[in-house]
Amino acid sequence: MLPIIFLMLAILGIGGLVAALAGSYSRSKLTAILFSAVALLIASYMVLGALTSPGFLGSTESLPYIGQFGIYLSFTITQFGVVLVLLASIVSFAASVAVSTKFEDNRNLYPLILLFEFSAIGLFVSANLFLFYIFWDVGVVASYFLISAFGKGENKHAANTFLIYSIFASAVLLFGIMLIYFYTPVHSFDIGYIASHSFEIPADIQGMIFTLFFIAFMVKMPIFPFHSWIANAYSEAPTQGSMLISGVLSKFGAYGMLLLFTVFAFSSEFAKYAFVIGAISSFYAAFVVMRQKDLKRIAAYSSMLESGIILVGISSLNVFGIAGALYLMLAHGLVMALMFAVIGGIEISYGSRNITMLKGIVKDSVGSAYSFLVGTFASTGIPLTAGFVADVLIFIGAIKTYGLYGAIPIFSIMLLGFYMYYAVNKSFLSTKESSQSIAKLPRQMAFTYAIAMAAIFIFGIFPYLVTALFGI
Amino acid sequence: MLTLLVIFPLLAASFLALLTYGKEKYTGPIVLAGSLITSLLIAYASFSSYGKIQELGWFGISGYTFHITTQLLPLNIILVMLIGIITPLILLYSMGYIDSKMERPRFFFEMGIFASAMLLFAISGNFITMFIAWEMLGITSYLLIGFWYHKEHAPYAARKSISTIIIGDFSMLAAMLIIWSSYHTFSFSAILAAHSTVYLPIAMLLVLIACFTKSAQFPFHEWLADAMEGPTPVSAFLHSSTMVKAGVFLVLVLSPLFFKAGLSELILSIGMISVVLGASNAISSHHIKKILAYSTIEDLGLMFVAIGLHAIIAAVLFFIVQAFYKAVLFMSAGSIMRANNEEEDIYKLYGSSRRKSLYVPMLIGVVSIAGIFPLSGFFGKAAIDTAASSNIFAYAILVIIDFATSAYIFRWMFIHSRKNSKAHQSNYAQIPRSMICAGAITSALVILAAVVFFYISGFLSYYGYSASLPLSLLDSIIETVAVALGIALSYKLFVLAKPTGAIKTRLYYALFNSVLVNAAYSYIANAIMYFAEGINVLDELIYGFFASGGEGIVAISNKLRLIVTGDTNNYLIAFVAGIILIILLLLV
Repeated sequence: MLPIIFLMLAILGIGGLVAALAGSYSRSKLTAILFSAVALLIASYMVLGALTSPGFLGSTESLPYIGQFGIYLSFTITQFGVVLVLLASIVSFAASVAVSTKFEDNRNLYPLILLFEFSAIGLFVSANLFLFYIFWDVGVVASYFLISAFGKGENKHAANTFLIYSIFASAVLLFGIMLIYFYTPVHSFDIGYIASHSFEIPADIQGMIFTLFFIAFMVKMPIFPFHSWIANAYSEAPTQGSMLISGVLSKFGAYGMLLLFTVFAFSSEFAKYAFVIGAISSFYAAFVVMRQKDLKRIAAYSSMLESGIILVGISSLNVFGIAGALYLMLAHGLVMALMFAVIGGIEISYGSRNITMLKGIVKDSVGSAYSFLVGTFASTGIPLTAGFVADVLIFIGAIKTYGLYGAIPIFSIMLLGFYMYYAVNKSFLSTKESSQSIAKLPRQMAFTYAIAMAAIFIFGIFPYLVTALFGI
Repeated sequence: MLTLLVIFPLLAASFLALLTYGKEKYTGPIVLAGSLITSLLIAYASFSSYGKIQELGWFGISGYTFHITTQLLPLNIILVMLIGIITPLILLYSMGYIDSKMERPRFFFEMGIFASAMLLFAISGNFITMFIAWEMLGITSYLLIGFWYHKEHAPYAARKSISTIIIGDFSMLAAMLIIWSSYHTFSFSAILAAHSTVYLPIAMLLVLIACFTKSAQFPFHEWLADAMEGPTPVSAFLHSSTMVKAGVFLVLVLSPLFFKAGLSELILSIGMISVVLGASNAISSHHIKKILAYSTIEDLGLMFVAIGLHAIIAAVLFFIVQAFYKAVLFMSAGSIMRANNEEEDIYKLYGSSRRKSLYVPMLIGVVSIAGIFPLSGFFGKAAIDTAASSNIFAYAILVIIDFATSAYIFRWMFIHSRKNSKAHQSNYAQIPRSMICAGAITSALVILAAVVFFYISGFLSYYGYSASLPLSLLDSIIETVAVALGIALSYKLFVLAKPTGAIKTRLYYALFNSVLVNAAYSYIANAIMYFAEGINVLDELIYGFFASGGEGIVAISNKLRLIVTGDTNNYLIAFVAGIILIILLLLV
């Protein structure tokens, strides 16, 4: 069989190099669009294979690396991985199509986008914790430069905050990985092996491993109280950076959480704490959103809210909750890509993101206004957008495990809805006064909106594309 | 025939409407044609698919399949037919009403989607299908109420409506997932047939909250009055066969579950409160459309009262007749406003009696809502009164409400049918023909709807309710007397006395209590915002905590690096001291 994962990673790696060496901004952008489109095709092929041919899921590709320590370059395609690879390639494709005004001549952006996509896809298909950690840190580095290299002043501070939180998470994660390595009977990083031997780890070490992993993934998702980096990081990054970081980087943590609860059997005894933390985090984010004026900050905290809901889904530990959490990762990644693209578009058209300044956007830029409305619908989980099926599955799972308490976090989304519609009415759909538009929306941005919205509706109307991976 | 197909002509026409920018004269006819085809299909499906429940798999997960289910049981057929009849009429009315070309494609698109969503709701046979339609109704009504972006209050009204409605949406979502977890199915017929479970009462309570938000019942009723900021065809549609009927309809379909969960007293009492609030505000308001809106709250309350009294057939009868007279009243209100330069205060409106083709349909509507024999409204009200005759408290209130209804609706008509003075030039000749025409057809239906009374109990025998619809002579007479007194009072106060404006006495403020309700809403909203402010302070504290951790590390590093001076003497001293320490440790 074709080594499809190696092929994909190689293509992205080469693409990154070509984009870095391309002579001009426009060539670099073109390279990024081409290579991420090819990656998107391969990802679609992977989804198709996972849905149609039975042996596809679980197929492994492996090369020896440091044999004496049991380290291999091994990759595998799981049902989680295939969905998230698709998400990463859609969002990266949308991000390489997008533009943001201020940094137009800076061609460093596109190699970074491809590098980020490389790390994300590598992470989602890696079959051992060694590779997992490497791709995790490559992702952090790429994101750091996505925030810090574009803009002046404030963004340096945001990038440093992000880096400190991320390094903390990485260190904790590495410690956890080393503990596992030394306490499994045959020292191994292989996720499949660890899954079948996790009970042989001593009980006190199990709790320690769980705590370390949980904290590392909490920082990345982000979950209360380790969330302080998101507001600055999301709002200071360029449009493409925000799309990638909120859409894909936060899924690193969520995917890790998913692995933690599905691979390590002992984590089931901590699940109820995870449920409570997830619920608190989502309500907390819903209330923090209510006082935000910057559109990017609104989107950032709504992203934190959804992370809480994802954790609720994972902690229910049944197929509904797990599948729902995976679905919500996909849905929410797409919604965030759309939201940040629209906010970027508004910034191009009006030079501001503050809802107290922006008024009557529907008058001059109809596309941005209605796209934002679609984003609002999607983030509150209106049926026929991708979020709805995810919410249904997650809360069925939560109710099955936690009874009526499982239904409570639903109402945090309601609180988000109140404020989102307030923002929409204040700045978008009320033209009694309207702000002066300073520039027309570039055509690339319209394409970006279209890509994200198409994906949102496709996964909303045909949910079996994801749910079929869990058995019909 | 696949029942789901009835929606598609209308849905396709709505999307076509979006393509008609530049050729706006075709927009209305395209959507109207689509809705007429849909109406024909509805008529066909009602015979060919009668009693059928059809399931289409939507997605499946680990052995469970989630279906898009449609059913055409008698109740569904009633609602589907109502929509099928009223939608083309409203669209006909809109063709004259929306005169700005630029607005036309968007308006007809949103109206078409709105009607399709309601159709999907009417034929839905399980919770998930119902919920799709329910949410579509919510967002399209939001867009339609805020349709005129340039108006000062329209966006506010739209936000108020959506904020109320999403409370219901998420209650409904929670309820249906709780129900699924207990029964492992979303299907209405399976759940109705199953035994009740522990979670049923709480789930049905949540469903009821959702229905109260959609059907504008206390304490969620105020959005409906603000929704009058939308274009008049929207109001006519919203109040007659769509949206607000959704809540009542769902309670009707699931009524055995509500009774099983022991919620009939709650339904009865909320219905009563809403009836009283609706009538008192309708009597005191002087906004031409808001009077009708409060009257709708009262009507819906009456339906809930009937359901609470287990008089399902009476509720269904009233459900049907209310749709027609409310549609004609709103259409007339829109026409009158059009003739008076979109003035909304009834004391500034004049001469609706000048154009007979407008006045006669409106009179039919007014007589029907007041409840005068032999028009359809009479049967609906008398049936509910008869059902309440066992409960003396409810009966007393209902009779007073009959009196109040005829008083406020004749007040409404008497005031704006006064003759013009010279200062107020109104032009009844400029009302577009399609608006008049739609009103006239609807008023004919108001008369015909009286026939429903004779067939309704036979039609609903499918559900096994008691065979006939009781209508006692005594109750009918009491009702008629109350109505006559109401008309007399209204005639005395508003025709003979010739009022020129609302008289703001204490009684007025007691009756017009929507101000208080709105104050309560903003109090709650402010409380939430203050809480959010507190959480934000906490958020800054958390950020500060981590930041000060960082600063602490920097401070330690600042102290420590002073040791690293590069001075060889210092290093040598430290080195010697270290060696001495090690030797001491070894000795000890």
